[in-house]
Amino acid sequence: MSPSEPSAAPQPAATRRSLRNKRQTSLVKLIALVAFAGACGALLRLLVGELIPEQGMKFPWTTLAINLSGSGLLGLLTGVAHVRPWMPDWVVPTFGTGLIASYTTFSAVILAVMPSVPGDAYDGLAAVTYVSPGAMEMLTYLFLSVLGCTGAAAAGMTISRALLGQLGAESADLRRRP
Amino acid sequence: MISELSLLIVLGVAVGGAAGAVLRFLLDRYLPGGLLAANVLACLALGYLYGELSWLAETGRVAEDGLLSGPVATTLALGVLGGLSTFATVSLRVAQRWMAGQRLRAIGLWTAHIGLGFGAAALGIALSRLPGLY
Repeated sequence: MSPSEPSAAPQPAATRRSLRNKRQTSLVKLIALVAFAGACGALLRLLVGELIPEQGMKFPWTTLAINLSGSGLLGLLTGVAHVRPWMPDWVVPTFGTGLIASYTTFSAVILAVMPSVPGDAYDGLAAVTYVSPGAMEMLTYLFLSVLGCTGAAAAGMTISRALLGQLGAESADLRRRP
Repeated sequence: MISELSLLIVLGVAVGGAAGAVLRFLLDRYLPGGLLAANVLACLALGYLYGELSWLAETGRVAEDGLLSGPVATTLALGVLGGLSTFATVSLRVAQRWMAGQRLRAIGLWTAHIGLGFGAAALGIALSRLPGLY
Protein backbone atom coordinates (compact mmCIF):
# COMPACT_ATOMS: atom_id res chain seq x y z
CA MET A 1 0.00 0.00 0.00
CA SER A 2 1.45 3.35 -0.99
CA PRO A 3 1.77 6.18 1.58
CA SER A 4 -0.79 8.22 -0.33
CA GLU A 5 -3.38 5.52 0.26
CA PRO A 6 -3.54 4.87 3.99
CA SER A 7 -5.77 2.10 5.30
CA ALA A 8 -9.34 3.05 6.08
CA ALA A 9 -9.38 2.26 9.78
CA PRO A 10 -6.73 4.63 11.28
CA GLN A 11 -7.51 7.43 8.86
CA PRO A 12 -10.20 9.32 10.84
CA ALA A 13 -8.10 9.41 14.00
CA ALA A 14 -5.02 10.53 12.08
CA THR A 15 -6.99 13.22 10.27
CA ARG A 16 -8.49 14.47 13.50
CA ARG A 17 -5.09 14.55 15.18
CA SER A 18 -3.48 16.46 12.32
CA LEU A 19 -6.42 18.86 12.22
CA ARG A 20 -6.07 19.53 15.94
CA ASN A 21 -2.33 20.04 15.59
CA LYS A 22 -2.85 22.47 12.73
CA ARG A 23 -5.35 24.53 14.68
CA GLN A 24 -3.38 24.70 17.91
CA THR A 25 -4.21 28.03 19.51
CA SER A 26 -1.27 30.00 20.86
CA LEU A 27 -0.88 30.44 24.62
CA VAL A 28 -1.27 34.22 24.37
CA LYS A 29 -4.58 33.83 22.56
CA LEU A 30 -5.73 31.21 25.07
CA ILE A 31 -4.84 33.50 28.01
CA ALA A 32 -6.77 36.36 26.41
CA LEU A 33 -9.80 34.11 25.85
CA VAL A 34 -9.64 32.70 29.41
CA ALA A 35 -9.31 36.24 30.82
CA PHE A 36 -12.34 37.49 28.92
CA ALA A 37 -14.41 34.42 29.76
CA GLY A 38 -13.25 34.56 33.39
CA ALA A 39 -14.45 38.15 33.64
CA CYS A 40 -17.83 37.10 32.21
CA GLY A 41 -18.05 34.19 34.68
CA ALA A 42 -17.30 36.40 37.68
CA LEU A 43 -19.83 39.00 36.48
CA LEU A 44 -22.43 36.26 35.98
CA ARG A 45 -21.87 35.10 39.57
CA LEU A 46 -22.17 38.70 40.78
CA LEU A 47 -25.40 39.10 38.81
CA VAL A 48 -26.96 35.89 40.19
CA GLY A 49 -25.91 37.00 43.69
CA GLU A 50 -27.66 40.31 43.15
CA LEU A 51 -30.82 38.71 41.75
CA ILE A 52 -31.04 36.17 44.59
CA PRO A 53 -29.35 37.95 47.49
CA GLU A 54 -27.86 35.53 49.99
CA GLN A 55 -27.67 38.03 52.80
CA GLY A 56 -30.18 37.20 55.51
CA MET A 57 -30.65 33.67 54.17
CA LYS A 58 -30.18 30.90 56.69
CA PHE A 59 -28.63 28.75 54.03
CA PRO A 60 -26.32 29.74 51.15
CA TRP A 61 -28.80 28.70 48.47
CA THR A 62 -27.43 31.08 45.87
CA THR A 63 -23.89 29.68 46.00
CA LEU A 64 -25.31 26.18 45.94
CA ALA A 65 -27.41 26.98 42.87
CA ILE A 66 -24.40 28.59 41.15
CA ASN A 67 -22.16 25.60 41.83
CA LEU A 68 -24.80 23.03 40.86
CA SER A 69 -25.63 24.74 37.58
CA GLY A 70 -21.95 25.36 36.78
CA SER A 71 -20.98 21.75 37.47
CA GLY A 72 -23.82 20.46 35.31
CA LEU A 73 -22.88 22.79 32.43
CA LEU A 74 -19.20 21.82 32.67
CA GLY A 75 -20.24 18.17 32.55
CA LEU A 76 -22.30 18.84 29.42
CA LEU A 77 -19.40 20.69 27.77
CA THR A 78 -16.90 17.97 28.65
CA GLY A 79 -19.24 15.30 27.34
CA VAL A 80 -19.56 17.14 24.03
CA ALA A 81 -15.78 17.64 23.82
CA HIS A 82 -15.30 13.95 24.54
CA VAL A 83 -17.43 12.72 21.65
CA ARG A 84 -16.45 15.55 19.30
CA PRO A 85 -12.63 15.57 19.57
CA TRP A 86 -12.23 17.67 16.44
CA MET A 87 -13.80 20.63 18.24
CA PRO A 88 -11.44 23.67 18.16
CA ASP A 89 -8.90 23.40 20.98
CA TRP A 90 -9.81 26.77 22.49
CA VAL A 91 -13.44 25.87 23.23
CA VAL A 92 -12.90 23.88 26.45
CA PRO A 93 -10.32 26.30 27.97
CA THR A 94 -12.52 29.29 27.16
CA PHE A 95 -15.93 28.01 28.21
CA GLY A 96 -14.80 25.41 30.76
CA THR A 97 -11.72 26.89 32.44
CA GLY A 98 -12.65 30.50 31.83
CA LEU A 99 -16.40 30.96 31.97
CA ILE A 100 -17.83 28.07 34.00
CA ALA A 101 -14.96 27.54 36.43
CA SER A 102 -14.81 31.26 37.17
CA TYR A 103 -18.60 31.33 37.61
CA THR A 104 -18.50 28.65 40.31
CA THR A 105 -16.67 29.22 43.56
CA PHE A 106 -14.92 27.03 46.08
CA SER A 107 -13.60 29.61 48.53
CA ALA A 108 -17.09 30.92 49.34
CA VAL A 109 -18.26 27.40 50.20
CA ILE A 110 -15.31 26.78 52.53
CA LEU A 111 -15.70 30.16 54.21
CA ALA A 112 -19.42 29.48 54.66
CA VAL A 113 -18.76 26.26 56.56
CA MET A 114 -16.10 27.86 58.79
CA PRO A 115 -17.20 28.38 62.38
CA SER A 116 -18.48 31.94 62.56
CA VAL A 117 -15.92 34.64 63.16
CA PRO A 118 -16.72 36.97 66.04
CA GLY A 119 -18.12 40.22 64.78
CA ASP A 120 -19.81 40.94 61.49
CA ALA A 121 -17.96 41.06 58.24
CA TYR A 122 -18.17 44.10 56.09
CA ASP A 123 -21.45 44.38 54.19
CA GLY A 124 -19.67 44.72 50.86
CA LEU A 125 -18.95 40.99 50.83
CA ALA A 126 -22.56 40.34 49.91
CA ALA A 127 -22.12 36.80 48.61
CA VAL A 128 -20.00 35.48 51.46
CA THR A 129 -21.72 37.04 54.47
CA TYR A 130 -25.04 35.97 55.79
CA VAL A 131 -26.57 34.84 59.06
CA SER A 132 -24.28 32.06 60.20
CA PRO A 133 -26.28 28.92 60.91
CA GLY A 134 -25.36 25.93 63.03
CA ALA A 135 -22.74 23.27 62.45
CA MET A 136 -25.21 20.61 61.29
CA GLU A 137 -26.64 22.90 58.64
CA MET A 138 -23.16 23.75 57.42
CA LEU A 139 -22.18 20.08 57.19
CA THR A 140 -25.38 19.44 55.26
CA TYR A 141 -24.49 22.29 52.94
CA LEU A 142 -21.02 20.86 52.36
CA PHE A 143 -22.37 17.39 51.59
CA LEU A 144 -25.12 18.78 49.37
CA SER A 145 -22.54 20.79 47.44
CA VAL A 146 -20.03 17.97 47.06
CA LEU A 147 -22.46 15.17 46.21
CA GLY A 148 -24.84 17.35 44.21
CA CYS A 149 -22.16 18.99 42.08
CA THR A 150 -20.30 15.74 41.42
CA GLY A 151 -23.62 14.17 40.45
CA ALA A 152 -24.48 17.15 38.25
CA ALA A 153 -21.13 16.93 36.44
CA ALA A 154 -21.54 13.18 35.94
CA ALA A 155 -25.11 13.67 34.73
CA GLY A 156 -24.01 16.42 32.33
CA MET A 157 -21.31 14.22 30.83
CA THR A 158 -23.68 11.27 30.52
CA ILE A 159 -26.48 13.34 28.99
CA SER A 160 -24.35 14.99 26.31
CA ARG A 161 -22.71 11.69 25.41
CA ALA A 162 -26.11 10.01 25.25
CA LEU A 163 -27.60 12.80 23.13
CA LEU A 164 -24.73 12.52 20.70
CA GLY A 165 -25.27 8.79 20.46
CA GLN A 166 -21.95 7.67 21.86
CA LEU A 167 -22.91 6.59 25.35
CA GLY A 168 -20.47 4.01 26.59
CA ALA A 169 -18.30 4.22 23.49
CA GLU A 170 -15.25 5.17 25.51
CA SER A 171 -14.59 5.53 29.22
CA ALA A 172 -13.98 8.97 30.69
CA ASP A 173 -10.83 10.44 29.24
CA LEU A 174 -8.72 11.38 32.25
CA ARG A 175 -5.98 12.91 30.13
CA ARG A 176 -8.26 15.68 28.92
CA ARG A 177 -8.00 18.50 31.45
CA PRO A 178 -10.85 20.99 31.07
CA MET B 1 -29.90 45.33 45.07
CA ILE B 2 -29.09 45.97 41.41
CA SER B 3 -29.14 49.68 41.99
CA GLU B 4 -26.42 49.26 44.61
CA LEU B 5 -24.06 47.91 41.97
CA SER B 6 -21.70 50.68 41.15
CA LEU B 7 -19.78 50.76 37.90
CA LEU B 8 -16.61 50.53 39.97
CA ILE B 9 -17.66 47.20 41.49
CA VAL B 10 -18.75 45.76 38.14
CA LEU B 11 -15.43 46.78 36.58
CA GLY B 12 -13.48 45.51 39.57
CA VAL B 13 -15.21 42.12 39.58
CA ALA B 14 -14.69 41.78 35.82
CA VAL B 15 -10.98 42.61 35.98
CA GLY B 16 -10.51 40.56 39.15
CA GLY B 17 -12.37 37.60 37.67
CA ALA B 18 -10.18 37.73 34.57
CA ALA B 19 -7.00 37.81 36.69
CA GLY B 20 -8.16 34.97 38.92
CA ALA B 21 -9.21 32.79 35.99
CA VAL B 22 -5.91 33.32 34.14
CA LEU B 23 -3.90 32.53 37.29
CA ARG B 24 -5.90 29.32 37.80
CA PHE B 25 -5.56 28.41 34.11
CA LEU B 26 -1.76 28.78 34.26
CA LEU B 27 -1.42 27.00 37.63
CA ASP B 28 -3.54 24.11 36.41
CA ARG B 29 -1.66 23.89 33.11
CA TYR B 30 1.91 24.01 34.35
CA LEU B 31 1.85 22.84 37.97
CA PRO B 32 0.93 19.35 39.12
CA GLY B 33 -1.86 19.84 41.61
CA GLY B 34 -2.25 23.39 40.36
CA LEU B 35 -6.03 23.34 40.70
CA LEU B 36 -5.70 22.36 44.36
CA ALA B 37 -3.15 25.16 44.81
CA ALA B 38 -5.57 27.67 43.24
CA ASN B 39 -8.44 26.65 45.51
CA VAL B 40 -6.29 26.55 48.66
CA LEU B 41 -4.73 29.93 47.85
CA ALA B 42 -8.18 31.44 47.36
CA CYS B 43 -9.39 30.00 50.69
CA LEU B 44 -6.34 31.38 52.50
CA ALA B 45 -6.81 34.84 51.04
CA LEU B 46 -10.59 34.88 51.55
CA GLY B 47 -10.14 33.75 55.16
CA TYR B 48 -7.64 36.54 55.74
CA LEU B 49 -9.88 39.12 54.05
CA TYR B 50 -12.94 37.96 55.98
CA GLY B 51 -11.06 37.96 59.30
CA GLU B 52 -9.60 41.38 58.64
CA LEU B 53 -12.95 42.90 57.68
CA SER B 54 -14.79 41.42 60.64
CA TRP B 55 -11.96 42.61 62.91
CA LEU B 56 -12.34 46.12 61.53
CA ALA B 57 -16.10 46.00 62.01
CA GLU B 58 -15.68 44.64 65.54
CA THR B 59 -13.35 47.40 66.61
CA GLY B 60 -15.60 50.01 65.02
CA ARG B 61 -13.05 50.97 62.39
CA VAL B 62 -14.90 50.70 59.12
CA ALA B 63 -12.45 50.73 56.25
CA GLU B 64 -14.41 53.13 54.08
CA ASP B 65 -11.39 54.79 52.56
CA GLY B 66 -8.70 52.38 53.65
CA LEU B 67 -6.85 49.66 51.85
CA LEU B 68 -9.82 47.32 52.17
CA SER B 69 -12.61 49.72 51.26
CA GLY B 70 -15.93 48.38 50.01
CA PRO B 71 -15.17 48.19 46.27
CA VAL B 72 -11.67 46.84 46.89
CA ALA B 73 -12.95 44.09 49.20
CA THR B 74 -15.70 43.17 46.71
CA THR B 75 -13.22 43.12 43.84
CA LEU B 76 -10.88 40.85 45.76
CA ALA B 77 -13.52 38.53 47.19
CA LEU B 78 -15.99 38.24 44.31
CA GLY B 79 -13.58 38.94 41.47
CA VAL B 80 -10.07 37.62 42.07
CA LEU B 81 -10.76 34.92 44.66
CA GLY B 82 -14.07 33.85 43.10
CA GLY B 83 -12.35 33.56 39.72
CA LEU B 84 -9.33 31.79 41.19
CA SER B 85 -11.33 29.17 43.06
CA THR B 86 -13.65 26.76 41.29
CA PHE B 87 -16.14 24.14 42.28
CA ALA B 88 -17.22 22.88 38.87
CA THR B 89 -13.79 21.68 37.73
CA VAL B 90 -13.25 19.71 40.94
CA SER B 91 -16.72 18.18 40.62
CA LEU B 92 -15.98 17.23 37.03
CA ARG B 93 -12.63 15.59 37.79
CA VAL B 94 -14.13 13.68 40.72
CA ALA B 95 -17.03 12.57 38.50
CA GLN B 96 -14.59 11.45 35.78
CA ARG B 97 -12.56 9.42 38.26
CA TRP B 98 -15.68 7.95 39.80
CA MET B 99 -17.07 6.95 36.40
CA ALA B 100 -13.70 5.44 35.45
CA GLY B 101 -13.90 3.23 38.53
CA GLN B 102 -11.27 5.06 40.59
CA ARG B 103 -13.56 5.48 43.58
CA LEU B 104 -10.84 6.02 46.20
CA ARG B 105 -9.06 8.63 44.09
CA ALA B 106 -12.37 10.42 43.59
CA ILE B 107 -13.06 10.55 47.33
CA GLY B 108 -9.44 11.53 48.00
CA LEU B 109 -9.67 14.45 45.59
CA TRP B 110 -12.64 15.98 47.40
CA THR B 111 -11.06 15.23 50.78
CA ALA B 112 -7.85 17.03 49.77
CA HIS B 113 -9.67 20.08 48.45
CA ILE B 114 -11.99 20.42 51.41
CA GLY B 115 -9.42 19.54 54.07
CA LEU B 116 -6.70 21.84 52.76
CA GLY B 117 -9.20 24.54 51.85
CA PHE B 118 -10.65 24.48 55.35
CA GLY B 119 -7.18 24.58 56.91
CA ALA B 120 -6.12 27.44 54.65
CA ALA B 121 -9.22 29.50 55.46
CA ALA B 122 -8.64 28.93 59.20
CA LEU B 123 -5.00 29.95 58.76
CA GLY B 124 -6.08 33.06 56.90
CA ILE B 125 -8.43 34.07 59.71
CA ALA B 126 -5.71 33.36 62.28
CA LEU B 127 -3.23 35.50 60.31
CA SER B 128 -5.71 38.35 60.24
CA ARG B 129 -5.74 38.31 64.05
CA LEU B 130 -1.99 38.85 64.28
CA PRO B 131 -1.23 42.41 65.35
CA GLY B 132 0.35 44.84 62.96
CA LEU B 133 -0.50 43.23 59.62
CA TYR B 134 -3.10 45.80 58.71
